[in-house]
Amino acid sequence: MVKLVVKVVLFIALLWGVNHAASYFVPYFWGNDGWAAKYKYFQKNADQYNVLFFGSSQTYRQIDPSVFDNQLERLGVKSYNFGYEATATPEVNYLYENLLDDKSVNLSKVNVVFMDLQPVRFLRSRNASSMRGRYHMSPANYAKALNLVINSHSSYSNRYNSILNYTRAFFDNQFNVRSFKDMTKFRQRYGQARKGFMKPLGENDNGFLPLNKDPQAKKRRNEFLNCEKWYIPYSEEMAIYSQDCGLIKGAPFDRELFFECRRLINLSKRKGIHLVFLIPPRSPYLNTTKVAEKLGEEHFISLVDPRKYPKFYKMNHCFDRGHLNQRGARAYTIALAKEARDVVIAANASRD
Amino acid sequence: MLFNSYEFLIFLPLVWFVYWVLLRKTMRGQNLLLLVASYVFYGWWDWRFLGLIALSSIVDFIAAQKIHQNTQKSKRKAWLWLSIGVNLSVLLFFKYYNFFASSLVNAFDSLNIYINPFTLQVLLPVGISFYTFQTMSYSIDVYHKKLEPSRDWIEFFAFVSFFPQLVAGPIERARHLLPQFYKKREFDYKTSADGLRQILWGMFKKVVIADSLAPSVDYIYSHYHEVSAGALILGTVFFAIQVYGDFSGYSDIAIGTARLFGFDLMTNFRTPYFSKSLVEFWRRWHISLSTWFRDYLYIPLGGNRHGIKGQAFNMVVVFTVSGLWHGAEWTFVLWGLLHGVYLAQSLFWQRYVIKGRKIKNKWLAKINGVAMSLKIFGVMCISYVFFRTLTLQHAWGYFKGMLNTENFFEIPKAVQGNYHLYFIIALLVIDLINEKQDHQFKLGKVPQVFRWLIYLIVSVLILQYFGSSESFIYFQF
Repeated sequence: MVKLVVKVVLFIALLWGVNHAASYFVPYFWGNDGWAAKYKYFQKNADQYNVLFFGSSQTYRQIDPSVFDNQLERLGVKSYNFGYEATATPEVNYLYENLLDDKSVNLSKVNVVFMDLQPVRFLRSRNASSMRGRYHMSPANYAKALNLVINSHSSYSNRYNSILNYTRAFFDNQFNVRSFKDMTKFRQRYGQARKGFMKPLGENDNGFLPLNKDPQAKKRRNEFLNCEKWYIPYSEEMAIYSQDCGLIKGAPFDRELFFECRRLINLSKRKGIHLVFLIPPRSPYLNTTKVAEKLGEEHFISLVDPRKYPKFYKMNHCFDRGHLNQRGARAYTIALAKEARDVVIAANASRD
Repeated sequence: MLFNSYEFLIFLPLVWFVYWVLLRKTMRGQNLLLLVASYVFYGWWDWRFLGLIALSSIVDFIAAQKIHQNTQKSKRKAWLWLSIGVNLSVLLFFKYYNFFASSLVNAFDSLNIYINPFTLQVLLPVGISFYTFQTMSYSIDVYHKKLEPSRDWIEFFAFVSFFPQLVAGPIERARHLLPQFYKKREFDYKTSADGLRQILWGMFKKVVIADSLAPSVDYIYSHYHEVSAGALILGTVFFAIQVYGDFSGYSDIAIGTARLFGFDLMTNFRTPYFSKSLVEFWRRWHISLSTWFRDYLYIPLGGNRHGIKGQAFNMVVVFTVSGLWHGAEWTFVLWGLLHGVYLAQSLFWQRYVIKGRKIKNKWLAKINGVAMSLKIFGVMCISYVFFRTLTLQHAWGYFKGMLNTENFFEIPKAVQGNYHLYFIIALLVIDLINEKQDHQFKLGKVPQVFRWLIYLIVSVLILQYFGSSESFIYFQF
């Protein structure tokens, strides 16, 4: 029996080795095309930038680096938007950490990074089997995801399903299940870098692409306008967010998310980067405010409260329920620049 | 739970470990574990239908005891009919109720008599046709005194629900499988290693061959009115390979898994597409079902004891019933009927035209053999149109499309650019090399390094197609 077990284990190890070797032929971000396009441009121009934005679509679609730079022109800010659709915890952590360790990128000038503060993403089964769901499931990232999911305050069934799905994604990652074809195609796309592939760079090559300018988002907008479930009048929207903001004090505190944020802050510090977490307008993750507050004022900016920033909740500023349109994005970036001024000054001073 | 799922990847080693490491010394413990594991395996899909397996097991367990205890023929018969009646009632209700109800409505409809259809939304329990046939064979065998009834309910329940073959066979005879639950199983390295090889080959056939062909077949069958005749022919050829990969793959995994636990299941496929006649084909395709029908329907009907006409009639009946067993649709009935009629006519052909003549030249005989295999494959492909289409109109439309010569060679883009051909060739070559083996992945004569290399290549390919969790085609039967 021992002989059989030993042979099976040996064979699995060999299989793992053969399959895993394929990972060395693609960069660490191979499963996220949008991020890859931004990386490709950034790699060549990294020495120009001192401020970076990381996060999901609420960064990608809402923070315009040209407006931000313009607002903080006197401070010599040159920023770049690394945000991309659905790039949340733990994927964004994986990408950020790898970028910090990336020797082919010159980050010497970067002194401030802004990142969306989001709780761990509960992986659904259809996403677990996707390329996006599995490419970042390294052992460390898998352990991180499990820790965040297990210690979150979500329902048991939600956590249970998510653990199973992350485990599946981890297995797929380790054995590169269904990945060879995707990897080969990615290498082709990345190498050719055609116009369509580089689209997430936006019109100004700074990583910002507002939803109004993206033809693919047109359907989303129509769905929003035509769907009663999603379309909520301004007054009601305001009331809901105001009520939710009022309830934050009673919300549970996500301890593990806090530790993860602290870890990233310390990691950034070692590279001379000041990390600031953002809670953008219309964020569905208001509970993270408690985590943000505990990180300290210098490490968080929140623009989610409708009582303080009512215009982000007006119809003429929004694209859909969770996103601002170009006008809203401009207003948000200006507000963010105002809030970020002190942080940038402090970061510049410490670098000097 | 599917064999080609992540759950099974965890389930199998876990059960194996408890079975051989923790319960090695207690046969009853091992049987109980197999029973629990089998119920978990089945309940993973839908626990509500576990009651049906339990019902079938209880009825047959008691009925067999009573048949054995009673000496009066009438009482013995009554208990036998109770067992058959309960099993067939469950099968008829869950599988055929709506079919017969809607067929009745349609029949009256054509006579301009309108009756109120009373159809139910009945969900078909997976594997019901397999385990009901298996339990029926037990009661019949006990009745015919070919088998002693089981005295231990754990062994018997484990036999009925044995997870490797529960949902899609092989449909085991109680005479063969049940006694294996009474004997102490000893771990055997060679058997287990061979079981693993068979599982690997089964996975390859299912995941790499069948699942990769499935999208092309689905596309062609659902766009039959748009695609060319060439594509339709290709579609039915692909389906022939897909259904073989799918079902024989399942059987290989089932047999290999059973071997890991020290059980021997009957062979279900013997490279059927190399058959030189349809009779031979049915001796090599889904052997457990063919032999079941032979033992429990064809022979009781009279078999070949009533002359050639009686034999031909019995064949048509058996194959029509076999068609109906596959599915509650007229397409399946027609598929079975087609096979029955073909076999019946070949009986007359053999008797009155060929009269036992043989080709004496060795090479000519070989060429003739290949030509006959191709002919049988062609017959199968034609009959598969009924097997794969959803309605008779669909089948008719498909056949009509096959006769349309316009743009004959135009192949839809959805079907192009795949590796189908390479995989099919690999399958045929390995099948051909190991045609005479009990499974086709016997690599005993190959040096160990190359053997491992082959396992590695096969495993890498499986992993590249793994995870789509395509259900097995035969689950619906």
